[in-house]
Amino acid sequence: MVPPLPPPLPPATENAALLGLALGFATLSLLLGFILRTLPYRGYQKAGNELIEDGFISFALISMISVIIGTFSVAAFILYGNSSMAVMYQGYYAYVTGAKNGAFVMITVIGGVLWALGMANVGVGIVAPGVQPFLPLSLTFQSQIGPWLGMVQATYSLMVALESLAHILEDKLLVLVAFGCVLYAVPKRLTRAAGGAMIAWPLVFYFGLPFMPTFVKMYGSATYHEMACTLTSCPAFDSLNPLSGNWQAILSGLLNFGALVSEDAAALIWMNFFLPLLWVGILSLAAAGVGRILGGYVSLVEQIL
Amino acid sequence: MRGFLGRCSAALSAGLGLILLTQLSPLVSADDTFTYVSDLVRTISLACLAIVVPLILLGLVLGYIQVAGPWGGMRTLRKSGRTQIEMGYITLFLFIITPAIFFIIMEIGKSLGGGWPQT
Repeated sequence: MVPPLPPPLPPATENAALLGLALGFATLSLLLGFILRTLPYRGYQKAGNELIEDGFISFALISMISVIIGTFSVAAFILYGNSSMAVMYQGYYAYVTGAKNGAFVMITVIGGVLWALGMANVGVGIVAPGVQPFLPLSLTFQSQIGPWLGMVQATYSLMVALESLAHILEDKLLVLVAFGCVLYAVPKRLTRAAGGAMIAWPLVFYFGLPFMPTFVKMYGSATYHEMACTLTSCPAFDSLNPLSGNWQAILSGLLNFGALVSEDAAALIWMNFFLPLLWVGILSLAAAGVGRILGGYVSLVEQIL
Repeated sequence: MRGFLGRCSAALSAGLGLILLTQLSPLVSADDTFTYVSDLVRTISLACLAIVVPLILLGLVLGYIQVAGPWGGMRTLRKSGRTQIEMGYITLFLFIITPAIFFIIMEIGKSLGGGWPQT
């Protein structure tokens, strides 16, 4: 059975002025090229050939830009298993929100335990001045899980940044691509490479970002148990059992808790910080490649002339 | 690597410039700016269009003068004239068929599903 085609892209309204400007630049390149070709100096004629070639290529790119976006769209439609981009982005936002919540809970748990140890220390110090029974424990615990705290906070920040990036791309893809066309068509190849990059980066990231949850699941740690701590339950915290009154049990529970939190923090950082960063890096390389293809020089017209 | 970073920074600057232009500037509206730049480009294009045909014809005439002038032994000059004539005709031909090439590219784009910018 033939799968249904993806829904068409929204009509070009916001980007029409930009594409019109790009078209004007392409025409200007062509006319300047014709003028330079008529001048009786070899150097000017070569420059004229270059301008004519650039004008034609820019014109072709502007005419085909919807085709390029459509090709990306169809490829994504096939790769995503016949899901539309809107559905894929829903999955992406769910993943980002989950990762953000996980990081937030982790920050709260680690920060809460460190705060509780500090407060217990202060409380005992008030009752018996000069005695700080929780200080060694606090320092041990802090050295055990403290270093994870910064990375978990960085994970939260990264997820917020990726969420914002996806929102910008969803809203402004066509405008960014149209602006890339304008830069691409400026005469004398002044901003051609920047234009190619400006077209490639939004396109690759728009169609590549929703793959991130799949990539993370594929290469995530098998031992990761979906954040042991949630907003409603925290098995690691239960192991602490602070109301038992048995100090030895509390101590071992605390160390056990530290070990579990460390494991979860490491898994969370691996899955929601390093793997997303790796995926962004892969997309960046792909975008640089596409940008290089678009911004490269094809001297077909020059050879014909 | 330097080129790669250069492209990234150029694209970033261009994007930031666009955002500044369209979002943050309360004094100059984005529409006015685009209209101004578009008008400027259109004016320059029209000026170029006005002088390109006379220039091509002038080049052809100069080429014919170089070839047919009364300087018997100056082969270099005649050769240069022949090149000038050849270049002039190719340019004229290209200039005439350019709208047709544009039309073909546009139709290919349309038939493949691409839209034409509605200005």
